[in-house]
Amino acid sequence: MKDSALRKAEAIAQKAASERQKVADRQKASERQKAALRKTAADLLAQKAVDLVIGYGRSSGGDVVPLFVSRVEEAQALEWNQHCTYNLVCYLTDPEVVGSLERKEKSKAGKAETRAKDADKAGNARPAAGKVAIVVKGCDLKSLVVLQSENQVQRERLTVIALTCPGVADETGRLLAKCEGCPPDVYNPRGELCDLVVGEPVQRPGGESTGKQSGGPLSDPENQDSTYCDVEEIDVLNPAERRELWDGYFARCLRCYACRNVCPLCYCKECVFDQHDPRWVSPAAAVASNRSFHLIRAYHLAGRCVDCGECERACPVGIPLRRINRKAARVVEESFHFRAGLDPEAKSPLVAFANEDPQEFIE
Amino acid sequence: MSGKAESVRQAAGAVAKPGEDNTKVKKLKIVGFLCNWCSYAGADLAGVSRMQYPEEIRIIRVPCSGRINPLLVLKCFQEGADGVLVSGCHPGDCHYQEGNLYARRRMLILRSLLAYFGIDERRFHMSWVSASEGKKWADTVRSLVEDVRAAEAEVKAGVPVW
Amino acid sequence: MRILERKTLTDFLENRLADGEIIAPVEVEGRLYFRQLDPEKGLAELVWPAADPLSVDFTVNSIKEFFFPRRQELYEQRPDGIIPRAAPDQKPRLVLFVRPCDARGLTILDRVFLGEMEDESYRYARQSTTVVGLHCLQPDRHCFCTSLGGGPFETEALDLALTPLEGERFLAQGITEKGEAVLALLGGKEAGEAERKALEQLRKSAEAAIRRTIEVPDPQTMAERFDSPYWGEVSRACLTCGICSYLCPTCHCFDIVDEGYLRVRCWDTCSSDTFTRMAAGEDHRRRKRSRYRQRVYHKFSYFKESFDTHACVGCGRCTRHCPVKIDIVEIVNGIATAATAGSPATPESTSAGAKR
Repeated sequence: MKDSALRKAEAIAQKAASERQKVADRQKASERQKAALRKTAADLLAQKAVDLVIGYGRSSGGDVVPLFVSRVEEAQALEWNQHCTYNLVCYLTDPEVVGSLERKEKSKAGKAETRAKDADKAGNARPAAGKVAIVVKGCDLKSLVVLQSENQVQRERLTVIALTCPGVADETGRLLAKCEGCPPDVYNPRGELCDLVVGEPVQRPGGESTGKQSGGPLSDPENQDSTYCDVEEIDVLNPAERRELWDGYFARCLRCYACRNVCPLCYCKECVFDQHDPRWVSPAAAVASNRSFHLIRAYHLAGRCVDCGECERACPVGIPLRRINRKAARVVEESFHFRAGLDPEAKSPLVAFANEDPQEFIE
Repeated sequence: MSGKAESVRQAAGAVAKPGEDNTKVKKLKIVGFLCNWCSYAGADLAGVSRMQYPEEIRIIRVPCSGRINPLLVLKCFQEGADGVLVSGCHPGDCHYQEGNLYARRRMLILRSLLAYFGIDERRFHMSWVSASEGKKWADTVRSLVEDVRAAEAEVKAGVPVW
Repeated sequence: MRILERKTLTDFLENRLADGEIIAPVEVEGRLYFRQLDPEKGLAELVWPAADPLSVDFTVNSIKEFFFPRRQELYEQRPDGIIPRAAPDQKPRLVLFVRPCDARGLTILDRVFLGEMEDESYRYARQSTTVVGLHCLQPDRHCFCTSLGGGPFETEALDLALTPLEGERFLAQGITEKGEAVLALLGGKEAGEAERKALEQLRKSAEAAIRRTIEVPDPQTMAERFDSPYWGEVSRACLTCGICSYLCPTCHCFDIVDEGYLRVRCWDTCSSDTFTRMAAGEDHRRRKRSRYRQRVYHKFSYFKESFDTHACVGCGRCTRHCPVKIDIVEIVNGIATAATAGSPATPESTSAGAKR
């Protein structure tokens, strides 16, 4: 009896030691990755391959912040750790950060360049009119793919630096919900979607079993239960329950528009919610107008949202926004067999149709 | 009809109380977006043929069901509509070739999101009505009004549609 | 000063809830919010501060919205005339466990809403409300109230101040007449020398726990840096959402919108790219650097000029909840060493079709 107890104790000690070793290894790998990222950025700037690197930095208060590096020596301020949750792709459609990267027709190319120069003269801070490097995780990269498919970025002016990612965490260190079930070809980004992959391939526990690979066409669109179980939880409620659930959240909504502004795919120069004439939705925060806001935004993201999760992270009052966008994504996937963010040449499902589109709901 | 359901419907104003004047029944506000080439013509045919169908529907003529911005449907609900109908040409018959095929996709998503937020699905219908389908038009309106009345009956007093 | 047992406070609150309103911190899905307590649930949802400071968290919202609502119906405009929306009768109201920073926010809002032009509904709300404060045992890393004339144990705008003690007890001080009256109802034991010493000790350690100081430059320095390229640099990451403005205890800008016949006042934020948009599409703060600069100057320059106080209480919510952790302390502290004007400021107005 003593012998087996001893063996058990040994096994536990061994397991603890190997866990500690794993953590130490991961930390070392992370340090190497950060060093490699800093070197990559510094080299790109030194060779003048790019004018601006958009990455993660750290504020004097100790928080991770977006960092805009235009000098070689500043590259050492780039950070990479589990708190780098932001999707920086939202800055690629912000003209004050990158100038305009929108793809214009050839004949207008000259005009676009001139406008960028005017911005230099008129303003003080110089938005990068030239080339931009951006640091992305696999999830962020998917949103960039959608921007490409919508002609919102001149890909040739971008250097996409993708990072292999063990998952990111909230301030308490807990893994974000969106990271659970992240497929291997997202946390180890595919080379064909980016220019550089920085970091060694990551091993995440249970990587294979968490549902479909996100690359390539969907092989079995019927088998969606594991992927959308959070949406399913709400789908199975009756309408009155759903109404009560969502109205409760919409009562909390402040209409701060953080969800919209942090979203890389909400880039309209004049958003429907900012239109005065016609005014579609009252800006005053109340359940009915908030419901309209969230429904319309979800509708505008249908077939485009890649579930980077930033909207939910940004929301100050904890509205489960991913469950709204993922509902639309589920409908698009089940009905039109399309998932956003995989193919930069893909056409958005709402500007397309198929003869076999479902119409049971139509009389 | 069970006593309880009946009294709920009376409370909601959907049905006249016994002995009450029929004009006191809640007048439903239903908006129909009809494509000019098929559905509007079909509705016109129904009228010319003196077919009876509920008068609560207010028709807005659009060139094509593909012109209908889902926000227009939402706007109707926001402004107090009890039901909305979108009606277009049958697939393959669209005057503009494919407008109705885009509409089909859009309205599917809209309907799913409305349902997800607990808005009664019975309030939003879509139909294909061709220029020769006068009777189908009448049936479509009747079925929508029935559905909306059923939805109204289950509404708690004072809870607006939107 | 009195010592109150928790039970004394509970009994008192339950009584108040019976024929009045109580607004207090409530937990919803892991976050704390100031909310009106549901009389049917009694005090069950109320989150009590513990003597263990680490268990106390900050509410997401401040108490601003109970005096300056997010949405307020003003009047209906009908063809036959204007029908004002009567404010509902305000029952006597208690706002409970308000930190000194949030309370101080009321003083700043008072300057705006109880100034030359008085906001009736705001005044009514202020008069009907008793503010019961909670001294702050453990500020967090975002707090900076002490460098703005506040502090974790201050009592400005409080009627009654509570300090959590061990053993689920509280020290209670009446600050105003209203507060003294409440204290009289509560009863409790008279505090002695030991308690006063404990209070001083707690105050000192709380003040020492504040790690950040904001150093607002003098007006001359601010004026010289209005055209600095600094504003473009520090605002680059800003998403121009409304989180900082809406959660701020002192931000008070609003919009007036028509919902059909109904004219409504609602919160607005100068960060928004439509804030200064005018009828013809003109917008003199088209760029976000101008808007972020405006936010800083309004709070730390213009407001002081008009009202002798900065429009900031150092609660730290703006940074705590900013999705990209824009740090106003870091930004204000950097003004003094920022370059003065770069190229001359050019007019920003565009014609109709103003872009972000």
